[in-house]
Amino acid sequence: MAYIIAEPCVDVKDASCVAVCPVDCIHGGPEDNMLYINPDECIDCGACAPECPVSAIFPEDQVPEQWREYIQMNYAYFGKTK
Amino acid sequence: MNDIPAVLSTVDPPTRACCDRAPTPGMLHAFEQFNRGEYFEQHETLEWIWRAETDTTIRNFYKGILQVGVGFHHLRKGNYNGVIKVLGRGINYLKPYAPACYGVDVARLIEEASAVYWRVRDKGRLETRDLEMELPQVHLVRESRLKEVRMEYQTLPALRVGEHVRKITFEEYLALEDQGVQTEWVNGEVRVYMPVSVKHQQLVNFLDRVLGMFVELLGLGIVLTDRIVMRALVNVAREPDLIFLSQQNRERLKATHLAGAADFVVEIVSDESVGRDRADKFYEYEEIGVREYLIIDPRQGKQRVDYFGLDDSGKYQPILADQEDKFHSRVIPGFWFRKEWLLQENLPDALDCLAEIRGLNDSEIQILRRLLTGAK
Repeated sequence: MAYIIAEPCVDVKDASCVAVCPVDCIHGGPEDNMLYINPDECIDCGACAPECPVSAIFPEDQVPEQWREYIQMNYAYFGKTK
Repeated sequence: MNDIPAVLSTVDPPTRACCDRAPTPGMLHAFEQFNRGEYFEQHETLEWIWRAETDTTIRNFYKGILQVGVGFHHLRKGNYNGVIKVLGRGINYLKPYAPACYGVDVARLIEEASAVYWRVRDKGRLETRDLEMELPQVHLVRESRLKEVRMEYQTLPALRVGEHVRKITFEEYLALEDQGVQTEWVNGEVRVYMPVSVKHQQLVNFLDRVLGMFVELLGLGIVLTDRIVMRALVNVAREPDLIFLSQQNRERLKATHLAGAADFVVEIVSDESVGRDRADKFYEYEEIGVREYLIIDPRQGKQRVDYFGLDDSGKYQPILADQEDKFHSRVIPGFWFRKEWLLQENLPDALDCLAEIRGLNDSEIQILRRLLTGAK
């Protein structure tokens, strides 16, 4: 289980979440159009979710149906499969 | 020993001034959680402290310990990638703070945590889950645990001008008051805080009117706001947002400050105060015996009310609402409040709330209002 960033983040990349993550597990370079949470590093504390101005962050089991594909995308970004 | 690959881009160099300070009660609590193997919990406590810290030269110290602990959390779960990434990062965060900082033996923690890092790395991904080893603890350099820290400041020198920090006595601190800013006195140092928001002032004002009138009407004690100085520990004086002092403890109130615990304290959380309110003050108030502690977090996206009361062993336990969503105080007889009163955008009418607490019905409230306003 980890937190997952979904579609609202695309082209927004506000990065408020990055500043509050105590384990530095939210990544994304200038070439990416959104940010991603590394499921191996995330400790599931949820500190990031309320900070997101576009409400893009969800616990993995609560990702809204229309954005379920972002679970796989978050894992894939770090070379993992779900 | 090989260097752990650096993953950090920039780190503000620490200043020795921070590192000379004694650990705060909140930090000591986090270290105890760490040493008990409560790695998720230590992360929560240190996260509050880290988020509240405005001094960028010290923030990575908290993050370093926190991430070393999170690395151990991942190790317990057999999560190889998590250990390598987060434990490695935590160790690197700590390096600029060696040999010691805030009383913590940083050099020893780095050495012992690095041994764990390399062992996991050597064994590899497949064996991570089965690795059995004793995990390092956070050790203090001098045996400066809370008691000793307090002893150290029992008799503060009249005026000590240190290399970095000018420490003053409690009496000198009191004389500094009345300068129109919120200050607190911690380990002999004066901390100056940012002015509070309008929302903050409205909440204090609302509670002051409702609770203040309530205790005055019933002769239960006194409610004080406006930066009343409360001596928390021997070396710490706080300025809570609001306090209630019962009639039987009135002798604690001196001309300039409150010498000892209030019976009930309210703190209103802001971005800047969250660590102090939820960690440092929580343990200080518990320690000195503030019987009830109400933490209101009105910030966007938070909207939380946490209410604690001391149990028989002197530890805070959450006070929960009853079936009608009322939170009942045990130290202010007959007083209760609703969470919604404190979290709505426009605060409710204080007189209505007071009347409701006293059990008046709607028509009685109307009559009371007419009598007070003179309206027909």
